[in-house]
Amino acid sequence: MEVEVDLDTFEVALLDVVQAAEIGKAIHPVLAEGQVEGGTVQALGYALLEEHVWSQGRILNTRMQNYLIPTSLDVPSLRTVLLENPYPSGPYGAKGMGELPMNGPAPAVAAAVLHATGKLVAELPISPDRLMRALERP
Amino acid sequence: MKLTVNGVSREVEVAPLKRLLDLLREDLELTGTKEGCGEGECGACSVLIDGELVNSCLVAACQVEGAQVLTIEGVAANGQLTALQRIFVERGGSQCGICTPGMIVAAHRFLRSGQQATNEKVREAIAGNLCRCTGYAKIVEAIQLAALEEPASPDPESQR
Repeated sequence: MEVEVDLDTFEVALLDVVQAAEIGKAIHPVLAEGQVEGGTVQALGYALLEEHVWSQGRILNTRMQNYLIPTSLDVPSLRTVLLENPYPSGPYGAKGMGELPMNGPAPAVAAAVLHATGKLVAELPISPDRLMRALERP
Repeated sequence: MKLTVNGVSREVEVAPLKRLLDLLREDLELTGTKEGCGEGECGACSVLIDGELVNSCLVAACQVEGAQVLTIEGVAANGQLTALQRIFVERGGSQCGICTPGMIVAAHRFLRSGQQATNEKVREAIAGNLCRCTGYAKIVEAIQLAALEEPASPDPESQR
């Protein structure tokens, strides 16, 4: 994960993202990569953009105008690595692989922001206001 | 009112403020165009009006009188998929499919814009079309590969 932090606007730009997934056997490699890539981008949204705002048991931002997900311009070209290691108990050696790509990217973005700025933002999403507060902390 | 949809002249009787999206889906039974957010954010309902890419959920029927509208049903010619559509299938440009009709219409227009299909230009061209499950990588790749097969010169005829 490589990021660039704008110290005027506190925006985090994603420069390079690599995700490797051990998926047993890739039965359809193109679609398997697509699943990893889709999960990666969803996780990058989780890391930088997506936040449910709750009030009295209700979500306030229920529209696409105020719950933002990544567009094609918010994410870089992804590098995806499928690691095959056939799993005897799975069909044709495959494992489930739709959900796991969600797990790594947000911590990796937080670690990259820490590396870039020296400050850990331990709450998601790492939005400009959160990052500004973190950087203003002594 | 009269309008031309996918090259065919059509006459419909609709409320003037009916959404173009509903005119297409309900009155003309062209259900390839999908409704996503219904508020102009997601691009799922993208169509071309006189060659311009629009969200059909934000266009009133009375605005398209006499116009040429292209929907996803009009992209393939004579039952033959375009190179773009074929490569989308082969390279995993579509997963769940809800963004696909709008994405194809946006990419179809881009490929006829005469612009070079660089990574940045392609990403800019589809920035108004949200996709939740592919991560955009295979969509961008498919559009760039299609650009190698389809002529980059502007072709007003195929924009209909």
